Amino acid sequence: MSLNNASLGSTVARQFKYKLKAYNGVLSSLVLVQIIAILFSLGGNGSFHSSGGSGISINATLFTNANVIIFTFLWVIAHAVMMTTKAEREHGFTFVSNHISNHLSNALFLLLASVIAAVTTILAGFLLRVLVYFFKEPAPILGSNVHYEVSDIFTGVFSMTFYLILLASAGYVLGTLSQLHRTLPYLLPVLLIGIFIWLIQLDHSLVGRGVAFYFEETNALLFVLKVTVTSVVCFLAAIMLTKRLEARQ
Amino acid sequence: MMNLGPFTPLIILMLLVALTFWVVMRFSKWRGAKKGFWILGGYGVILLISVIIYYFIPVSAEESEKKRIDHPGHVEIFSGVLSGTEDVASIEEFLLKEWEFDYDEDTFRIESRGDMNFIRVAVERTESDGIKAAFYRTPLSFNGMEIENKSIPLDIQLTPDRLEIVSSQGTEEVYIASFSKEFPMHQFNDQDMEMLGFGMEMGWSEQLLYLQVPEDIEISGVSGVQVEYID
Repeated sequence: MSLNNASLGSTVARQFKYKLKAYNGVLSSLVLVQIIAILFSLGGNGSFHSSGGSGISINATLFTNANVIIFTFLWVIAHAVMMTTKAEREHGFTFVSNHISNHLSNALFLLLASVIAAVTTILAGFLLRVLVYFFKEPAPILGSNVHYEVSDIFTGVFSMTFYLILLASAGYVLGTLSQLHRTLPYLLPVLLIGIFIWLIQLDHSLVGRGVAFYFEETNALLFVLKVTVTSVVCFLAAIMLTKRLEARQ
Repeated sequence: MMNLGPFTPLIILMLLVALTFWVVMRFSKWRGAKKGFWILGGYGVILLISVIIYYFIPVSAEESEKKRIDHPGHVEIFSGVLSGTEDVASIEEFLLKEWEFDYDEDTFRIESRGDMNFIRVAVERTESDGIKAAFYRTPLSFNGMEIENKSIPLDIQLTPDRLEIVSSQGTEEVYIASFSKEFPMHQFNDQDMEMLGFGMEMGWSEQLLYLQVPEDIEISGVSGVQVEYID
């Protein structure tokens, strides 16, 4: 191992430890975001009422953990974007480092945050079921899909982690891109929404096919490969964009 | 006034994004504060407790063992009896209530009070003495899961010239909480991916009122219900 490699590794490790302490507020924001999502979920994500003349009237409410998943996705994107702001970059250089070690430590932190968020997201499904069972009025009969298999939990945590890594890396590269010019933080979201609408108008199925590329991948190895390659490409793009940013400064 | 209806999902999404970014930015100011770890730790403990409590909820363990109902299909169960190819004893498992009346007159009418469109009425002529009525119902299901329904939606009353099928007052309200598993749990299962979605499927019961009337008693007329005679 070369001296350069060793020093890069130790710098990344030191910066990662620093970021663990510095960003613990962000981990607690995950808690708040998920609690808000669970509260929204308690109202149900769909309802059904029917009376079929059997002397019985059915009032069914569907509860899903989808709110927690969506909020957690937004949380990881927001956090990744936040890490790329000028203020955060400067915090990262409070001791000897370079932009590569900064990016690598950020990537490691996002990886850890994704694992933690994936675990809490999947476990939030249990909390939702317990809250519905004990506190929902009038007391409902528990319908379908209440039961979790052990394999459900592991599969859920595993794939949720990779979805979060994917979104974190996308947020990270977009955040870095937005730092290229002071107008970009405002222009970029508008531009992205515009591109999104344009793509839908161009071909209705295009966005769906893009999502399906990851979402419908049922082969675990290919899923991991797709997410990993995309994430690495995003981080490499962020590193190159930062080089450009530093050259301009 | 401008109609914001088509933009509602976009507005909600943007509000959620703004809320999430605000929370993240706000909490990022807790730089180095230990309370961040305590909050995450506390939340982790609550989640673990909920996992433990979850396993004490009776249904959580029973659901996977419960036999799912493939609905519909119950019409065919009664069709054999209605066409006369099968004996009524073959649907014994769906029997909910029986009535038996002694009747000395030569004739009677079948009438209904209340809406009886949801119940099929069959009449079999027998050699027995009294009039017998039996109410059969197939199970009610929601998303393939059987919902217990003990309510009897009718009553039978016999007067000197009429057999009245009376609709029972009141409806039992049943509240069901159904769940949908998180989509990442279905990631590596082809069949599960097809089952994703928030569909709610109701499988209503088929109901049959089976009347056994002695051959020597004439049914002078029927009103309010459609009667199928068993050959």
